[in-house]
Amino acid sequence: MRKLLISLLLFYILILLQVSFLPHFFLFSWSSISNLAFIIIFLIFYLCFSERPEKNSGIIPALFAGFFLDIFSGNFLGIDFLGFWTFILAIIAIFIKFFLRRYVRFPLAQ
Amino acid sequence: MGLPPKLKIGLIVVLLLAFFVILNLTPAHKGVKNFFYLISSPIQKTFWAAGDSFSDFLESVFQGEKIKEENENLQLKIQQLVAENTSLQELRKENEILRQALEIGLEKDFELSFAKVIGKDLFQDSFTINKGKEDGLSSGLPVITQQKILVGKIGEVYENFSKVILVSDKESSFDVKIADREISGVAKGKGGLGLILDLLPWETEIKEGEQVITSSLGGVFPGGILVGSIKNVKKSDVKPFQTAEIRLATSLKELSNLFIITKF
Repeated sequence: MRKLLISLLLFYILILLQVSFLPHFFLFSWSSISNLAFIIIFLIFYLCFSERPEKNSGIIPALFAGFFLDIFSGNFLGIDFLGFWTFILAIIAIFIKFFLRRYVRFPLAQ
Repeated sequence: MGLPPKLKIGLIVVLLLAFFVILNLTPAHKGVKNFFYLISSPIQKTFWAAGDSFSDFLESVFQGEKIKEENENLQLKIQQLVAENTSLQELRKENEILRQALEIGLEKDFELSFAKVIGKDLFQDSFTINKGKEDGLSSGLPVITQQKILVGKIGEVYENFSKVILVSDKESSFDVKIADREISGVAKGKGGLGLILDLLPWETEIKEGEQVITSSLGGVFPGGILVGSIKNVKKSDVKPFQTAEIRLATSLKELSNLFIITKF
């Protein structure tokens, strides 16, 4: 639970950084889907692979990370749908959990 | 009653999708966004201010380098322009001198070669000019100013440079006459930019201020070139000739451009 709360807070802070801090820098403001979106995706991968195989708690941060992206980031490719990123990230997390996870073993998993 | 995990997840996803579809169809999604913006605004403001100042700082660092580089380029350009300007000013001066010479009609009387003074040895009464053997100069050629005033004659000639022996040189001696009068004499250099007029007939009356011009008698210089004016006439009963000092018509110290008469 603690880990979940920390990861939610981290995603919240990261998304706020993306919309309020990084736009000041040319390199990070080139696209509405900026580097941080990929960082979040990377973090979801990490969360999914680093937990026990039977646990599915990695999906929850993915949902929230997507939700925060939906709230704070602009339209992606003209799609203005609250929940777009939530679904994208949720699907990624589910895919990791139920397909890749079944056949791949990482030493990170506890 | 427990549902299988796959079904549970599928159900969650479907419910979530339905929730968001409904949310997007109603104005409520704006309210949700507004709520998050509201609670995030203090943090966002802080991040915004931090990003602003940090980017300003980075910009100043990078701009500083850019400004420095631009400054160096501009300095270089200024130097180039100053050099170009100096060269143009030189050309303009040269042009003015040549025009003045043309107005006097020097080119009609003589064949001339223009030269610049590049060195002066006033103790030795000599100049160095930037023309030499390559430019067709030879020893003994008369040197005048653009106002047709005598300066001296060419002494030693090098490939690209020549020495001009000034009329005031101690070894210098040439025939002159008083302008508009048939009174001849010999001008002799006395060194230190001084010139005296000797061998003036005793019986003639010479007045101060009368102009002295070259005479073609000795063949050293062409006739009719202004040398200077009379001052301090000395007449002695015991000497058969009278002498006078010649005030040079031009300030030799300030000369920088000369004409060499290559043919007369």
